[in-house]
Amino acid sequence: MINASRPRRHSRRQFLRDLGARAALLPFILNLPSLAFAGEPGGAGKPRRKQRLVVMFSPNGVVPGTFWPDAVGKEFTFKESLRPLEEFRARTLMLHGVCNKIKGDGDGHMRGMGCLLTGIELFPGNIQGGSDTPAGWSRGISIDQEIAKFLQAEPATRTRFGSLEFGVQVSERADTWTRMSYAGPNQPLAPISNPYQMFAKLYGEQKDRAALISVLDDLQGDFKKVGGQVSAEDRALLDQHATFVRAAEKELKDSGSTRQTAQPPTLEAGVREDNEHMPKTSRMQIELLVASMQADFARVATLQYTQSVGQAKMTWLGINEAHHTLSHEPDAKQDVQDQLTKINTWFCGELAYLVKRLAETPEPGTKQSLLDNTQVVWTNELGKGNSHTRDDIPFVLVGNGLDFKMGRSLKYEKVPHNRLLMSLAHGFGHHLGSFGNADHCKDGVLPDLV
Amino acid sequence: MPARLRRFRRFDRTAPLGLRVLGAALVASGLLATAAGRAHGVEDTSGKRIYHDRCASCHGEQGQGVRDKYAEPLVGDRSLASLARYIEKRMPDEKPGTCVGEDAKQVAQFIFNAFYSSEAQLRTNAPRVELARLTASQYRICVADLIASFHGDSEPSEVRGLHAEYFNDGRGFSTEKRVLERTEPTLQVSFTAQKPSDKIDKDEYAIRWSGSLAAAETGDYDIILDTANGARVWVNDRKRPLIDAWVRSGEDSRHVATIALLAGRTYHLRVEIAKEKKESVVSAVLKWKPPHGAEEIVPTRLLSPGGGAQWLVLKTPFPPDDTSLGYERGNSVSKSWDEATTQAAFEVAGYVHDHLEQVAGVRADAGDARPRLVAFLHRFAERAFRRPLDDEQNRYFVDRHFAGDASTETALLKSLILVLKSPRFLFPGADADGRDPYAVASRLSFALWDSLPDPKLLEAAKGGRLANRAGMAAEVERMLKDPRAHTKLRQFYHRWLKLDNLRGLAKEAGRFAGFDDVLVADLRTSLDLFLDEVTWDATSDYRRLMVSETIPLNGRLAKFYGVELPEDAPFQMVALGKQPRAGLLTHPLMMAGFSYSATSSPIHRGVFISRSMLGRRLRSPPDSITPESPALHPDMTTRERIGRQTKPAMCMTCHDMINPLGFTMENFDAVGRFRQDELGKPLDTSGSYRRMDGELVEFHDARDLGAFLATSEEAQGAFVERLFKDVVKQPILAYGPTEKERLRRYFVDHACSIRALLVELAVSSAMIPPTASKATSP
Repeated sequence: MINASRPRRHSRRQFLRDLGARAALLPFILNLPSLAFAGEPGGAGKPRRKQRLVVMFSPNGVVPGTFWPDAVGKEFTFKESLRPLEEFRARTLMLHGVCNKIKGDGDGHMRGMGCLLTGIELFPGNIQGGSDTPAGWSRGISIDQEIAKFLQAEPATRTRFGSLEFGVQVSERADTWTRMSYAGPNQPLAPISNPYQMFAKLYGEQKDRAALISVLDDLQGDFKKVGGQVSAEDRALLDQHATFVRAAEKELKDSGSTRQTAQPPTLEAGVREDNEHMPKTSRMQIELLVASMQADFARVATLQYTQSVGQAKMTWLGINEAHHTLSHEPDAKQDVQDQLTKINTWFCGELAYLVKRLAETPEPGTKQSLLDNTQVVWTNELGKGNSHTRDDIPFVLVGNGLDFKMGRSLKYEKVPHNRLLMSLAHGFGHHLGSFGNADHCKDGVLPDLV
Repeated sequence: MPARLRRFRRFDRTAPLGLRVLGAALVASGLLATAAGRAHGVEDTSGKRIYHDRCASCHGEQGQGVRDKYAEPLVGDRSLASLARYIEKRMPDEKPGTCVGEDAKQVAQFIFNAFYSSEAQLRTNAPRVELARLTASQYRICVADLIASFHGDSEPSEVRGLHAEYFNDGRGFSTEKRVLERTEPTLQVSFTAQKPSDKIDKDEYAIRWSGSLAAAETGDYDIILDTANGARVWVNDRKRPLIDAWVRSGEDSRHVATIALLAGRTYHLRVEIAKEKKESVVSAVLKWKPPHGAEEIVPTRLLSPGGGAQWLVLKTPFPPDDTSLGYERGNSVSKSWDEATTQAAFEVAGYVHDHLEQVAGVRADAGDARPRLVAFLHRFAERAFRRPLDDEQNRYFVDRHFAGDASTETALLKSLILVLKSPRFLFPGADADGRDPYAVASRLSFALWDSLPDPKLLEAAKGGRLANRAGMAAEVERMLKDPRAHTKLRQFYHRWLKLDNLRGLAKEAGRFAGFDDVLVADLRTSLDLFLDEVTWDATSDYRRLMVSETIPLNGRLAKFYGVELPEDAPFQMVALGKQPRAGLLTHPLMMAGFSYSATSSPIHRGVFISRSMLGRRLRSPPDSITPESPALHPDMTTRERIGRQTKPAMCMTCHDMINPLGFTMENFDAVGRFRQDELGKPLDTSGSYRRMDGELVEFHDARDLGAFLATSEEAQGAFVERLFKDVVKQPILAYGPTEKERLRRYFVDHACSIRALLVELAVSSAMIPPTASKATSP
């Protein structure tokens, strides 16, 4: 049951989500997995440090001139779009020249989105974009899910959820433009855009458990009353049941006290999930994401702002035109290009806030921060909006989750992005020989990262 | 039918049959009285002494059995005379023939009266009406009905098929774009260049089918949609599609999803497909694979263009219930059961929470949400507990959770969980006074529906209309029209006929071409339809089950069993020519099920007749015996082979009853097809049965056997007891030593009407309060 005192909209969307949230909670009330030691280095061999991956997505390309640094190497300066990240420049790695080379069915946006984290072609299908061939879902698993699967396979790195998919203002439509995470071929994962629903998914169990303990305690009185109404022979059956109820209550209480319990963040009540409240829901989702990382609910997360062809209207920046519409305007329209820069700067601000929250949140049991063990990757389905190019896809890495050398700006010569996806997996010790379309993986992981 | 009955009487040499069995019962009761007297008076009868000296080391002092010697309790249905004869011939095991004459009679009498006979059992293990929890199946039905009682009913429709609508545009399904509406018998379309209507002139068009789907069995259904297009399928849940292939992706045109459904209910069904510009084919076929069924196009008779509701079908798994007495009963509790009830309570609470407006009629964000929720929960508790709550109970289960600033959702959760975990809900018999009208209403509804009283029945209880037999009978008549009653009866038949355990349905490859999964599924449908037809027609005559010469067949079955019907004919009652068919006894499903993979099995058939039809007890066969392979005796008929193998005296104890019953059905091979010879030899289908009173009845084929079972007091009694156990879920002896015979006579007096028996049985068991429910302490 979700945050109770708050008035709620019972939209179709809410409805769908609640179902998912409730179903996910049930086993956790009863089965009481021992989470306390999840994440401890396990067994023989050199214990690996805790490592996390957070992929943040914003749509419709960037304005290259205000995005990419001119210099290569350690000495580089952020251009306007990246300015909010200044504080973390030394922990940032900018990768220019990484290209999504996946061809086949689907329009540029669809392939930009559906192949971004999967590195493989789309299936033929019935989703028609522009005049291109229609397409369906991706043919493969996405890298975030591949890494989550890898981590879930080992008890030492297994977490309650494995991965969490956060959304901010993602459309209710389920199609190739709205999904970037795939559990496998034809298995797109829907991000959760409603912070209250995400809250219920993460913390509902704790509340349900408290309610259950009090109900089980109450029941003893009822058993006494009903037991008084039946014969002694029949009462034996009721007594037996009452004993099980008492034992279940005790078990719940005991496990509750030894169990790792996470302090949920306090969410502002009644925030509507609409365009106007995007800045607020964004921050709420970031708080939940950071808290769930701290509680080790998952080590992989995605944070998806709108979707490919997203139409956020950033009225809070004084922009009244929708994002995708603006992104089609020619380079010559300077006022529009300025607006697009402003939009990307806003997204970068959200990235900077996420990074800041990770940096100031201690890694439990260590003197480090979460950011020391987290790799944040900010990306986009296009390099540039008005050309729909998938060359020079923005890949901005922040944090020290992988052993990459940070504080640099690198320029590659049109390398397939599959190689970067492989590099992320290798960073987790998952030494994939290829990922996605193997034709693009022949040269192995990207050089010069570590 | 009367001709058939007369025909068998030819063999019936015990003219005043009517009172014979009853007489035997009375004699036995008489013996019971004297035996009881003796047991208390003369301590050391010779029978008892002989038993102690010569039998007890293997059978135990109280006939309870001795492990590693003879473990099974000495309990049975032989007559005293038969028992004495048996002892004379076969006992003691190591030295037969040393306990004969008067000794055998004495020891038989001791055994009979001390523990062997049902009367002795009644005395020593006096069965009582025991408190029972909801069985897993009852729990599921109860919560489904409890939630549905707040939805309001949808009117069942007599029309079959689905409502189809065609839209001349993309994916909008807007009414203005609808160009064609009609009822289609199944969901099965394929269009290429030829469009479904001239009014469709767009490149993109869409089709929607809607209506309802009836589930005949409880269990998991595979719902299968084959389509060349983007498509969605909703089953039960009106909002969340079961199959969402709206994005067509890849070459796979087959979409499968599994959904659990409860029998006897109709479910919302909706399918949408849309043609995209570049698609050249528009096609869709809706199939399913029901439990125990084969994959097939969802048949017209289970589709309706209207009606259908959304039901809560619980996913929580429950541990299996005890079925040692032949029916599910909730006679024990366990940790895993307690956990299941907790998890299920959360599932129900989650459902109520997610469907608050639909179930409770309350919008969570409305200003008066809290008082309205409280009122809803009062009604919820009343229906769950099957009786009104007093003020204190209302406070305890509902009001106090809403006090102060407790959050609405936590209060709702706590109240729902408390109600659903309360013994008042989980133990239907734990009523303060078993005589009050609400307890009566509850017993009626569990008897007929395995469920809670509906609001109408609770009203009847409140209005005092259940105070007498007539008032109750009127309610029962109403309740029998409900599909839930039909479902309960069907499940009774399935258990009685052991349909879920028919092991013989997989046949030797290549031997019976055409006897495949689809045919077996058709046979099951045929038998179900037959049982429904007999039970719910005007006469509801039990005897028709045993003697009917017609059974429902469709085109496929007709072809296989050699009857003329169009290939695509739907199910209809068909006579099987000159074949000596005897209702369900010779139904091909039963015949094939009680067979081996290549040959018939008179033993399985005979055991089934003995146990299920005649209610006889049979010991389990020794484990080491395996049937002899036909290949060992290629020249022997099945009958000859079995006669040979079961010849030893130790086998004949039981096989002298089993074989002659099973042999009567030798006209039917391993797939239930009629035959007149085997291995070129004409078949011998003669058989016999020695009744409990010692009389031998002879048959010359299955028809004779059917006619005998139709009027046999043993068979009628067995049917009455079986139905009683299944319906009431308590031992019939707990309702008195004469209840079985009283009901049997009632049954016979009412022209063997199953329906009349059901009414009487439900009413009389509901009227009798559980004897043990009297409070023995405050």
